[in-house]
Amino acid sequence: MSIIELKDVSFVYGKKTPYEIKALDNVSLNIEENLITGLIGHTGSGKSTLVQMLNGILKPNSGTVIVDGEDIWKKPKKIASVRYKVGMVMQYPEYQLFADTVKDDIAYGPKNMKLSAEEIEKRVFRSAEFCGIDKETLEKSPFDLSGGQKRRVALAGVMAMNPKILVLDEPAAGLDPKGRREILGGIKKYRDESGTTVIIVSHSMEDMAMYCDRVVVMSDSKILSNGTCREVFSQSQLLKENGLDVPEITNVVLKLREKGINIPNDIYTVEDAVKAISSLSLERRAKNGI
Amino acid sequence: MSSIIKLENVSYKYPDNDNLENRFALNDLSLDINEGEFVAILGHNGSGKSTAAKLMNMILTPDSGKIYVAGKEISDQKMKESEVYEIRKNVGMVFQNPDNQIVATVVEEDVAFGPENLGVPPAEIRQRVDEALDIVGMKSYARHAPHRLSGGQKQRVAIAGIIAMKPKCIIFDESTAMLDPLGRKEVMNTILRLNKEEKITIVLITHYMNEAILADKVVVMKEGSKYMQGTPNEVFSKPEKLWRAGLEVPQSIELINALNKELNLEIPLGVYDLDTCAELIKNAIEK
Repeated sequence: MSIIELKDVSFVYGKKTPYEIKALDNVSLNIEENLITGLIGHTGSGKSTLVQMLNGILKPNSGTVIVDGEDIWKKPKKIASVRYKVGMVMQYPEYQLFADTVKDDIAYGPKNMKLSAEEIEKRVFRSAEFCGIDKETLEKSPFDLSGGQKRRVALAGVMAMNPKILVLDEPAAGLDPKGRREILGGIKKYRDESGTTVIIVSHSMEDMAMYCDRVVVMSDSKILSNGTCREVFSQSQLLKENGLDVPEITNVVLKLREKGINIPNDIYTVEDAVKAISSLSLERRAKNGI
Repeated sequence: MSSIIKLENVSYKYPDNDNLENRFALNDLSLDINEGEFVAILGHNGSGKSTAAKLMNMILTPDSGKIYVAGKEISDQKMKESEVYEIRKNVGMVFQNPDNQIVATVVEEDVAFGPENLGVPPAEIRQRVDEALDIVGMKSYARHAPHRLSGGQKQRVAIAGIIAMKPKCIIFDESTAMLDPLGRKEVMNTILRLNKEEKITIVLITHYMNEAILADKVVVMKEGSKYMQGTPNEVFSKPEKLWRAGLEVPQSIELINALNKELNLEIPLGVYDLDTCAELIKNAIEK
């Protein structure tokens, strides 16, 4: 079932000025509930504009945005309520921390939702746990933490609002490989346990392949491709023509095919590549009686 | 080859370190960076990479140990301010966020900011600015407003601002981290050109393994100390060791490593282009 539906959405920046830029051109898109959807496309492809459509930061020039069954612009004065439904974590969210303690910072969103003290406490601990923040850290000032830890606090603050949909813009940017795995792994675990729909904007094809169920590719203000990882990454030609790439492992697999190795063309993780090559090799050994 | 930057048993602790569990940011680090070399520094967050960079151009001074830049000791706490400027002129630095490094409202004025402050005569400033913008491929943007440029373009303007001061060495502290793949490619191409054509020594701090493989030498940091050092080939052929430092290897090496174990093969590990990598795997499984 789709939880978000965009129907023929168009948006132009700086309309009727010399700087007029069409950012979304008649885009229609469905986002499935409970899945992690990756959104790729290079700078200027329209992906940030698209993301800002989802919680009413931007209003389309034409077309409708339906979130959880409701047209979000039906009552423009109520637009703020959609922001509780769609939690958004911007790029480098660690610059947005402000409270005296980590705990207060995470509690800020739920407090604004006028929840009971008890409920707030429960949510703070729960989201802190998902993001790997220990009890001791909760009492510290967010400004005393390392960049990676601050990122987790900002993420926990949005998770604590229990949004139905969580949108993350480059959640792992600037982190080391281990930090990337921890943050993205934590997001996946959170989805598994809470059933939240997650949308991740990223430039890393390898991360997309590892953590997303579906991938949406944008190019030139339009949707270029939309499907499961397998479907999207098997279109390597189309992606490359549009200045994007497939995961490195897929390129190795495609090269092996070029060299006459009979391996499927829709492999996009190292694990699957190892499996496919191993079974080929074992078959061969069996045939030759080795 | 003579060394342009040399660290000898350098240790450093941030003064307000209660929150860092009393750990050393740098612990007994020795490092040689030779003139004309392209050195990549890898390491987990908090491994001391940025601290090392800040010590190299005197943003910080070490608690113990010695640092030499172009043969001159710079770890002396009592150094005169004019001498400090002389060091910084030799060792330029480009940071992560392009928006934090641009001061002027016109691209060429921003590039001129450094040489102006060094007291370079106006006619020479003009010449240096034009040259620097040409090197980074931003000449046609000389009169543009920086805030309308893309991240990669802004970062190249920041680099031009450093080149205009004619440094011997440039340190890039995760300068590609905030850029998209296209911007990253632009900046990496610029860095390679500076190294190969302008003969500027490069220190590149990065989390991207595919940038590090372009270097002459890779240094891996872990918990404030040097953990590994060698050519990209030497370093990336030890995936287990890198994993233990919280890092990773390119997927092609991960694949070969896993196949070697799974199928009892002996494909040598190393940094290969796609074609070589596929050829090695093909030969091994068809043997």
